[in-house]
Amino acid sequence: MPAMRTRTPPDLKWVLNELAAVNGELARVEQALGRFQARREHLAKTQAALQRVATELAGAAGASFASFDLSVNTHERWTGRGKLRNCLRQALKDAYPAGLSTSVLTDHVASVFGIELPNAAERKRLMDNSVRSALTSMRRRGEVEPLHDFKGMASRSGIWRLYRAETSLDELRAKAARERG
Amino acid sequence: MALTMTRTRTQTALTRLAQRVALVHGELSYLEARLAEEPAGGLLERFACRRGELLVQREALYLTIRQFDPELDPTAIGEEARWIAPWGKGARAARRYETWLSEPA
Repeated sequence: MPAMRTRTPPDLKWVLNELAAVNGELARVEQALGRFQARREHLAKTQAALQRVATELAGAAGASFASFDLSVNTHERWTGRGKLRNCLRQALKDAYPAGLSTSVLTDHVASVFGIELPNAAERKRLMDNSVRSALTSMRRRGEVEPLHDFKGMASRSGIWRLYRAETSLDELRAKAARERG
Repeated sequence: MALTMTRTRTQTALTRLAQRVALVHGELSYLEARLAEEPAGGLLERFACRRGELLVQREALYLTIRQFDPELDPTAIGEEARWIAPWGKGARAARRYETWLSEPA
């Protein structure tokens, strides 16, 4: 004889589902709040330390920073939105039809934005966190194309080129006609 | 001075911060040696008070250096003997320093 099946009433099922969803989201929010709280505590501690050291250094240098607006939106580290991508775009445009490696582009970015790279780790950080991320995102938008294929390759240095759709013969004819007439 | 958005970290900035830590380490080391001798009068209290100030300053510098690069270990920085330079040289400098500490703020 088959086991008796129990059926949860649909209204109870719906309410339980909603409760589970709300519980899940609440747990995520609580977790995020915990992270934010920890970050806030760390930032407050660092702020106090930097404030103390800045006051000490300013005193030693006979300078004052009281008139400065000491609040900077650090997301604009490239002096404005889109400046890094513009810089990469221009470099790739100049190099077209050849490509440029991520490493060369990193050095180019450092020289354009006047970033001093005191050590190799710092250079790697700039390359991994900023340059490569920007290139990957530009690739997703169809602006650049990778020329590298890491399959079976020992090297992991990527080569990037500005993406341009191939010109068809008809387009060339139309362009020639425009130039003639 | 214009504030830069790029948060560029230079070797010079790090060197100067490390030198500050070394000066604090030097002064702390001197004070700890003097405290171990248990000086008479109010000196003990003043040394302990200055030591407290230096410990707070050291902590602030440590945090600043870790903000510069979390992989750096500021506790490994040595001591700089020139911390006493503002008071001169030799035993006379030490006396001047201790007199300065004894003076009411």
